[in-house]
Amino acid sequence: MLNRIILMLALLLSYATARAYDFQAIADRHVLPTYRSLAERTAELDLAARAYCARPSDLALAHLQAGYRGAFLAWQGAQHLRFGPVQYLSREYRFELWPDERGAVGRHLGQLLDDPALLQADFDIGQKSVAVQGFSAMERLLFAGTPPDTTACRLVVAIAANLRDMADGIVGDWSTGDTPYIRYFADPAPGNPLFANKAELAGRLLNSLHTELELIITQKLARPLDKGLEKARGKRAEGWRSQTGLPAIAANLGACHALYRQAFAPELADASPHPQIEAAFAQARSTLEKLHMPLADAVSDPDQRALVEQLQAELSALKQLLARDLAAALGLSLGFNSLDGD
Amino acid sequence: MAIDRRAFIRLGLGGLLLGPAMAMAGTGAGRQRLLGCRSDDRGGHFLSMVDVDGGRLMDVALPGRGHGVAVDPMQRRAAVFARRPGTFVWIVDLASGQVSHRIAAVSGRHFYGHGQFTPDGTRLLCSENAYASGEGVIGVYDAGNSYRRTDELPSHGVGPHEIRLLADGNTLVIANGGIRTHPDLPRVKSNLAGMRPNLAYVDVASGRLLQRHEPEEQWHQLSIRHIDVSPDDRVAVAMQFEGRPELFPPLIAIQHGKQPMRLLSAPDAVQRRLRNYCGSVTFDAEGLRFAVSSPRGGVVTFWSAGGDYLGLYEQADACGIGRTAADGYGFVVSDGNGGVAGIDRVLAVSDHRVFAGYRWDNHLLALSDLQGR
Repeated sequence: MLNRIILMLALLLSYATARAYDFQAIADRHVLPTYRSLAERTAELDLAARAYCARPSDLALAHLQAGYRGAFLAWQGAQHLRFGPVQYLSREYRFELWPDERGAVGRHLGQLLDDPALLQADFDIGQKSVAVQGFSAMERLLFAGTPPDTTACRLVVAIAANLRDMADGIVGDWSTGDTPYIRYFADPAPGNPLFANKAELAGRLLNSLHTELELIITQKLARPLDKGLEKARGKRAEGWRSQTGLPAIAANLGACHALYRQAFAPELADASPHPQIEAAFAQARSTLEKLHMPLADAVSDPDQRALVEQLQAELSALKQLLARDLAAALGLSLGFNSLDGD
Repeated sequence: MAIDRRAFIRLGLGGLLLGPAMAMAGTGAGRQRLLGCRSDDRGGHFLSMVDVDGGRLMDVALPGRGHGVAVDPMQRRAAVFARRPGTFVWIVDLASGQVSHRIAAVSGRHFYGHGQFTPDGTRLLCSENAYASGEGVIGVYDAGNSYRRTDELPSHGVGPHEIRLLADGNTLVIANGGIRTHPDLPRVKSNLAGMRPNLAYVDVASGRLLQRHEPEEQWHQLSIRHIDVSPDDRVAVAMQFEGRPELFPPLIAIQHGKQPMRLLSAPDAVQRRLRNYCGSVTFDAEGLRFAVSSPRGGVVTFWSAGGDYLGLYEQADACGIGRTAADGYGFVVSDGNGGVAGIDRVLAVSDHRVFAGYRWDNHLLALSDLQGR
């Protein structure tokens, strides 16, 4: 009898603490390390850009290209966090403009390279088109076939410094100053102007995961796949010039999985749908590992294309598990994006 | 009625169940007609006219999402403006519902979503973006000559949005939102760090700047987007804050004559509910009070022309506000769920009607008012 009472008490206690959501820990162990890594990789890119442009060589270019890939993949590992300081000052668009359906990056980059202002001492990339401020423009400059010349170097150095400054800015806005974002993130409660309760913030995190999966399925994979093998559009793949399309998706999924484990897995405590979600992440990763061509080529190869389509289907199933089963199990609302206004 | 006015307002729509529901029926002088852009559930976009009794009077299918609407002084024609960055402005004959003219943005310009007819109805003024330089401009279109674009005035700022003429018919008040956009990047705000919004008074005949008011430096990210002008030329301003979300700057302002712009805040608890976003602003017919919608917070706040906070009213996703003196109303408010609520002259909700399938957009015009003045 006593045992049963103790068991019941334990159950009650576990229920009471089940929706604990340690947002401080989520920030300390997931969000901040993600942005610190972005800050470190963009700082390395900044150094490599200045080194190459001061003394161009094949070796320095290889180092710069590697620095680009490292920083770009660090950004991909942060892309799933769609709230807070990354959205200040349109930073998320300035890091990367993709998809770029209207060809803004190429056009605005071409205009800027012809603009005498680029060579002036007071050139400020922050005042230029969002399309030329980040990775999307830099990739074209570094992987164009011809190494960046003096003019292009002006821009490469400016973009690298801009990326580093934005990453530092995000870390700073999260953790320092009079009103660090972490203060609001760590303590969602009545009176908190950003998050009135834990469920609201947890819903926001779930929305972020969902949005990232949606982006992979409907843009990153669907755009190059298009409607069939004959119609495949490899150059629509994100990062096709630097061959970072699939590594980017791997970084996205790794980050989503890590956030899931930090934020939601403890709430489920191994109960359904935790095993299904873990299996779905593992399955997607295994499919991704079987892809041995760049995404831009894989969509035109019959065997590899089938795997890309399989990955797309597996991620749709994972998205459903999060949006339906996880949301229901934890009593969360995915929330909706209120009509964008004017 | 012995109910405290402000308490009644706070009851919001819930008050309807308790309060006496006044019928929205017309008074014989013609039912109040409303004009606004809306979307349906299947991705269609329209300029629609309805009446407050639920009558669906007109639907004009648009090639994209519409935003602001202006009517000429005789209320025979409406101009409907594409949502920014827009490429079309259509002129609709209100009697027949036919589109009489389709104005396309000229090369290098796009529309910003608002405009005004001059009081004699001969010209249409449109807020536009010269997007290569980022300078705001006002396009002038000749209504007597197939809406040919005859002139262009500087807006004296970046990102002009809503514009209104003063009673003299020649002084244009321009809400220069300060946000730079480019049609290649349709919804990206590209200069949030360096934005300098302003309220500009411009002489339409010469394009000369008469006055310019800016929020103080600390609030340079307050985008001045929507304005209305009272019969005695008071300007009410509704703003959107693009800065850090944990700050709650004043979002509403009043400006009159040559006096400086005065920023207004609601009481703290109310101010937070505005979610740093105001969608539209409208004076009542007498110019004694104005209403400001905050659709993200689902509230409409009321203010005296002198800048006093009067109260609030709750309606989810409510954004459009029309002014009317008809049928005992002060304002009519529309929302994204098809709802249209009449707010009576003591600022209480008189009636609420849902037009099923109508997702009203940001702005609403009540036709018997003098919005074209």
